[in-house]
Amino acid sequence: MVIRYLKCIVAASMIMMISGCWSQINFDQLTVVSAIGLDLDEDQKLQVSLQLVNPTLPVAAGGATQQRRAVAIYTATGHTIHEAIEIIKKQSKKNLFFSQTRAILISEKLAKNGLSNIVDYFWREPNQNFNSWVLISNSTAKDALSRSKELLAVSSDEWKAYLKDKTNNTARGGIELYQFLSRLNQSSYEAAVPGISPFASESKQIIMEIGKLAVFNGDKMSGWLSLDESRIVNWLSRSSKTGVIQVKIKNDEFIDFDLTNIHIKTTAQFKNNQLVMSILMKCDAHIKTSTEALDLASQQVSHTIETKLNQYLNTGIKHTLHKTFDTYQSDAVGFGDVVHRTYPEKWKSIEANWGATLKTIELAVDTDVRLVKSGLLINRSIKKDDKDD
Amino acid sequence: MIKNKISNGQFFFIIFVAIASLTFFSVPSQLVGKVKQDLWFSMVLGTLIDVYVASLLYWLGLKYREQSLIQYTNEIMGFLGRVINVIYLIFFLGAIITSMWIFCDFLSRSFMPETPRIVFSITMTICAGFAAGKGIETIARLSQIIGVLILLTSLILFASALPYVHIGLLFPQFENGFLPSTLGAIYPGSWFGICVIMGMLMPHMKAPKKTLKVKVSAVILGSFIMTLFLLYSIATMGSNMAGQFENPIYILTRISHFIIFERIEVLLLLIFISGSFITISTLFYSVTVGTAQLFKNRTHTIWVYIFGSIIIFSPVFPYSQNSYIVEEYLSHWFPYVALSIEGGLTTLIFLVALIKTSVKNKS
Repeated sequence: MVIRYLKCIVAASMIMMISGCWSQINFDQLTVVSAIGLDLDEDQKLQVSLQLVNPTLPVAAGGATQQRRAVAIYTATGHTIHEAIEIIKKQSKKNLFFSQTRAILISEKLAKNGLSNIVDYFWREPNQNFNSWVLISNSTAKDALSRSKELLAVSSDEWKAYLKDKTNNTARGGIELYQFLSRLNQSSYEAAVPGISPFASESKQIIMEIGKLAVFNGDKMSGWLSLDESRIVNWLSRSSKTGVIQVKIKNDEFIDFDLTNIHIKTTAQFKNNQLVMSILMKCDAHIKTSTEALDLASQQVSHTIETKLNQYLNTGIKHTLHKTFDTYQSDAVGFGDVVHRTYPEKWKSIEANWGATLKTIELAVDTDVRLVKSGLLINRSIKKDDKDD
Repeated sequence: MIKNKISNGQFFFIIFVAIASLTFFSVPSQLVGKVKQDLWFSMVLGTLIDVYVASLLYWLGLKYREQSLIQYTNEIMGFLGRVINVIYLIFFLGAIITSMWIFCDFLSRSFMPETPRIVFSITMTICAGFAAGKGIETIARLSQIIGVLILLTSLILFASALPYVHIGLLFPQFENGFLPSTLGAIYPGSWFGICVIMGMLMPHMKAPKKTLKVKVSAVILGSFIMTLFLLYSIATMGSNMAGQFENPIYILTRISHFIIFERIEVLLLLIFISGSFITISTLFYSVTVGTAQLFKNRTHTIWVYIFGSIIIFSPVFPYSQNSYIVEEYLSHWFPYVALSIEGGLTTLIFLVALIKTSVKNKS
């Protein structure tokens, strides 16, 4: 009987130990880090800024009358991210919870200086979020975190929602931390990271815009792509399957298209030792608006629009790839991966010199756009643009 | 000694759970970095190695019915059999200590960094020791529940990770030929081979004739699921990134989300802890019963206490935190020693038994 009681006591004590209370952290001592900002300060030292969520009390507990800031920004410098975070812990007097971090902002200055010395922290640290979205800020990251004006109280929540679509895939060229870390070490598929930049300022706050892509060569940022170029890189890297573009059909005649179901097929081929990359882009184009009357019932008109659209995309893709390869020597669309998969033996010899090989690639671009009926008008005919009303 | 009997279904789940959790212990860290996307071939070869060992044990088990590996080794090999039995038992004990050490290390480094590792080993040793003391039927019944849980949670994890998978990352296949993946087979082969404990379980089978069929099905299902987990990790992160983590399957579950649920790594934790419990319990049972049979004790309970007091200290043994020695041990010493015991010694016993049988038949 005594032994049975002893067994019960042992079993009960085991349940308590298994519950995991040993590593518990009291909730009131925990602060969620919603965003991490990384900068280089004036002394070329790493500056880490953390956006800490400052939760308000529920209304029933008197939260309605509270005048608390939704977030607080803490900043510290150090040789490593870890060192700076340890200083911030002393400032905030809280345990920092990184597992819900929405965004990691890296300043352009730091990105251009190279990230290989600092990203080790993200590889090692178990208490972090591999799904954080990475952004490059062309102002200081601290400024972007503290002064950005968004509809949501916590700006990084807004950025995360913008970059992530409902299907859980990346949208608008967003790149998550695990993808970013992997591409910093890869020459066959380098990182292209959405930029966040001030659009307009209102008193102390700044309206931020996410759009342009920062392309990387290894662990260093090479430069920026324009909005149009960024969109094309997002399509080619399969980060985005939709897009809105405006095409000039004739003088002063513009049509806005909504491109959907974008499918990209990339193939590599060696012809007389010359690497030829063939790109086939297929998509549906919905006319959103036009500055001139269009008779889409006419096959000729439809054909002309499709031809113009195909030409526009074809030229755009070639231009973007030449800029990415020639100017930035960056393989932000993953052509290296395609060559590696198709010609694993040849890849071994060209991998080391892939940056230079990019410039010599011959591009064969083919686009196949299909105009599809959209909008409220009958007979696919658009008589007048709403602009003229 | 209590003669518990287990059904084919229970035996199936013991082996399935053991294969799944044994793969978690060291195979991902060794295989993903070295063999990359060709690891499926290593897993297939590892499975074949295990099926080969299982076939030998099946033949021996049927030939020497109602006897365990330890008992018929004594009968077949004579005095040498005692030496071989001691090697088997030390190997079982070493496998428990290694598994326990990896179990505590993983929990401490990934989930509960502030909890002393010894706490994990104390709780696991008490639970596994309790199960081992109760006998194989208790472990078998638990494995039925845990096996189904592992299957269900694996399905959820596969479904969750699907949006993150890029099939292209699994190519090119056999970039450096077949040699790396063939050599890599020693990792899954050596860990799967721990299922040599089948020799200790076969006397408890209600229908021993079906043991091989059940065992092969369980090994195939277990290794298939674990191969899928490893391939998912590579198809999500790429082989370069996946190869740098201690456990890429854990990182895969950190990246994936299940509908609106984040942090689904708790499901992996469920598989890992429950699977480790069944594996360590079965090994614990095998080593204690085997030792009792070797020393002709009436009960194995005393050995549960003796071995339990050693196993508890697995995470604090000297050198367990020395990266260089741990890496050497897991990538060289353990696989080669384990394979030579699982495959080598079992083949030796089988050959001697075969010769003895044929000589007996002739005379």
